[in-house]
Amino acid sequence: MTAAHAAKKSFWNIWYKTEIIPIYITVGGACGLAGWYLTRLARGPEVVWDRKSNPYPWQNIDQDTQVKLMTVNQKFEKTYSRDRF
Amino acid sequence: MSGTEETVLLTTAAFDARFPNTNQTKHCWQNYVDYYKCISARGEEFAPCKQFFKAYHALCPNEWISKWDEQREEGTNPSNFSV
Repeated sequence: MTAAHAAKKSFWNIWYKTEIIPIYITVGGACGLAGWYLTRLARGPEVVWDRKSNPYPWQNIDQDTQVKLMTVNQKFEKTYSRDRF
Repeated sequence: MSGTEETVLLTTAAFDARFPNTNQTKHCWQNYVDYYKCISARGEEFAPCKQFFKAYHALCPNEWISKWDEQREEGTNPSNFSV
């Protein structure tokens, strides 16, 4: 290869290699799961993002709401979701 | 067995969906604050305030209750007891 040809390797030439696709899938999946869980924690009722206008986010929970990820032997009508900061 | 027909009903604080986990600290604090807010808004004789009273006495350690009561008397309790 001439120097000019070697310099023309594009982003895809360098990073798209068939043999490392499983690594991409695994690491991408792990980052996705971690991001999902972090978001879930950040949206929990115990986290106060706006101290002035929403200082007690847990007070907005109805009594028939499920807050936990998984419940055993309990039935709730709806799951908690946070719609405001 | 005595001859009387009295049965004693034992209850504790009911399940509260706001505090579903094992750590009931905030449940205890919330009931304490709500009781004194209820008292200041409706007076001590208002019967439904008793629910908060029973709940916080069931949930809170007695040391916390006496510490918070002392703070309330001194005016140093940081919680807001006004509605």
